[in-house]
Amino acid sequence: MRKATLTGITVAVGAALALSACSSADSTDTTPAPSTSGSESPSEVALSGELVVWDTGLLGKTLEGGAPDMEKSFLDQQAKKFMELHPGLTVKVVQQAGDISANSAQFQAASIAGNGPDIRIQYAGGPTLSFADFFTDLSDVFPQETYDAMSGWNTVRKNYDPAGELLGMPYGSGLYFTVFSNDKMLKEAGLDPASPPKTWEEMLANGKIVKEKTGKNAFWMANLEGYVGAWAVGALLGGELGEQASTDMYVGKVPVNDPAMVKVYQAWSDIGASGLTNPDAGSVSNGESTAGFVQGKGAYYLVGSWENGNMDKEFGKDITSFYIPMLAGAKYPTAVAGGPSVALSITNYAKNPDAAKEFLRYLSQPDVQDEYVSLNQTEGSNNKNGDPSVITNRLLQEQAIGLKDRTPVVFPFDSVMPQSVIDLFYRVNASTFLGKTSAQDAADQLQAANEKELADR
Amino acid sequence: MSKLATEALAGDAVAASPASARRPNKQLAPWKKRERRIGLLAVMPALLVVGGVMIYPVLFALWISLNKTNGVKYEFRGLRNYVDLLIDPLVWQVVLNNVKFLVSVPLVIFAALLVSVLLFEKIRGWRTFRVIFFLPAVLSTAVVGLLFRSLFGYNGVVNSAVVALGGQPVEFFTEGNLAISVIVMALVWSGFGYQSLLLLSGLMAIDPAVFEAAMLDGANWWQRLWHITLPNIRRTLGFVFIINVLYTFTALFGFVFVMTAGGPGYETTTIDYLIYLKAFGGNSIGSGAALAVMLFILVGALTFAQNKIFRVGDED
Repeated sequence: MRKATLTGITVAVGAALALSACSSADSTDTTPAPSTSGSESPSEVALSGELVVWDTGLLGKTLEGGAPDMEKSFLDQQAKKFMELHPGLTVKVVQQAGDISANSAQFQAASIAGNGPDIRIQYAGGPTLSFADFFTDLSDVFPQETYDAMSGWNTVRKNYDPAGELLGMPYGSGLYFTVFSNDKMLKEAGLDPASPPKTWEEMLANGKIVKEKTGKNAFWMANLEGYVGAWAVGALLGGELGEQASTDMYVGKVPVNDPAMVKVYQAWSDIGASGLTNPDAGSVSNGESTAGFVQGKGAYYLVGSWENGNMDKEFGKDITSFYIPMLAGAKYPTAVAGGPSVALSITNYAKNPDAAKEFLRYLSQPDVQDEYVSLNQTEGSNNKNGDPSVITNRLLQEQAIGLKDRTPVVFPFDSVMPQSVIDLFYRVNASTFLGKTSAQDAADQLQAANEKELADR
Repeated sequence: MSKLATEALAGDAVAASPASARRPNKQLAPWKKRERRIGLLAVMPALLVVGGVMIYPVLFALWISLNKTNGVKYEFRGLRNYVDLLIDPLVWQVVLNNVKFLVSVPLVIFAALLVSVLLFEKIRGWRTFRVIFFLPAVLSTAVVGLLFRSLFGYNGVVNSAVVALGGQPVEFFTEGNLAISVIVMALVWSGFGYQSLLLLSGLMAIDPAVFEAAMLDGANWWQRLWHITLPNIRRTLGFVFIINVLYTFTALFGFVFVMTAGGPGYETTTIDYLIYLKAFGGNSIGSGAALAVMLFILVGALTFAQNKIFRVGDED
């Protein structure tokens, strides 16, 4: 049952971006926004009090001092509009500080104490499912047409079970792991940016050329937290094991220390030891990553489509993106890793559940989702009534086209696995890169952690 | 004889009888009973605070440690959490990390002792130095951690100096022992001011006549230090030693959280940080609580042993 379910997830993931970016012409003929009311509450809801929303930097943005960036923050903009619709209500948006592991720990602690938010925004998949005990079922929150119009619901169902509780509302068609190349630097090294490398090894070979010809770092990485490793390992694993790579591991059908995982970790360890990355890659935090690449500290930048906006703004035409290439000889050489990333959940201890539900219904409207796409340009809408013309970012458009030729689409390891395994995953990604942990040991540690989760499940 | 004195005598007489010895409270004089009630009421707020804020959480943690729980669902599993921890190699690696951090104890005591003696000797500008030395103690752990993280970062001041001197930048936070060294430096820097004041209070309690007599006998500075000063602050030194060892096992969380997050791998993870990781990162609150209880016992045993060694409670 689970295998079929998880297969469905990956199919949904693949369908999501195509639905948004390449949707049919009728979606441009946008119908009036449906009623924001669901099956539980009337349309004329008088909301009052305070609605507390915790975000982990997924839908909201802040200025350097911590104040909301009203120009760029989709969440804060929508919170303001929602408050205008409901004058008696105050929406308080809180950006959780720290990395993913710290965010999760904060939320867990607050939830045990029962003083967390009404709504929490986190990654879809494992990071949502791990908090199933704290989230309310959203199965009756939206009108049926909303469930029908939006994709990605399977990524937020309890235990990935099609009949399981709906623990969140997926938002956006999906983010994909990509490599950005600084075209000027590649040209300086005599490389053609228009011909991206076909394999991981080819990319490393290009990197050597960059290093030799320019003396600059071939790869810019900010791997203090192990996130770059998560993107690389997650993608390469898809090339070895296909679309079920992570999901089979989640259910224990394939051990996490499968030889394919060890092989992938070895590749990751090798790039850490190659001397082709910035020498401080192990101590640069994710928060500093964009700035470093923009400053020209590397020719290639392993990251994801969430950087489309920044890259387009900073480099203009001098930037190219391509999906992380697979290892030479990979069974699935055109695999790509990514999928629905954002989920909005309502806590089962919410102090203002009616307002929380209404806010989610408000956000689920196609035109509001289009505003998200339009503002961020990092992913399409996961609503089939979305307007693809709002995608104006060249990189996102190219990625959408490129995705058509990429199969399978793999829901990545750190989107699928339970939070405890994900936390360890990041940790060993950082230490493997530094040569502190061997590839086999990393895979074994993850297997042990997953076995424990399987025993507890 | 006054009424009170008579009552007291009567009370003494009654207390002498065997029957009343079994029920002494019932035979207390009314004024004494009233006094006891007032006393009990007076300490009640403190008792409630101690009971509510210390005893109850400790007992609750003990209960949690016997369960498998994520904070919502509980499944009793007896001592299984403890057994699992004892056979977990990660726990032993982390204990070893804590032992490495013990190097900070002599360092901070040496720095504190040096400063306190210099202040006691009233070196020129001692009043200003007293404030300066205490300043790091008023900074929060997060601030100190970030300060040292910036100083020793790849592009930090220390590496800039290394490069200026012709060396290669050092990755302080990607090698376990180096990272521990930096955390130890932060720990010593932030802690020695407070410890200095503790030692200074001990020094100031020494009778000046002892020093004057020693000087008349021709004792030099070192002889006074070794034969008068240090023996006289033995108990204060012992106390400072004990609290520093205690800090090393229970108060490193902030530094580790801010500076290394326990990495690379688990090379700078301490027991208190592992408790946090298990309880809130790993969703195993029962296991985290069991580790906390084990730490509580370890710290208690260490404190008891040190107390015996330094004879802190003994009279001179």
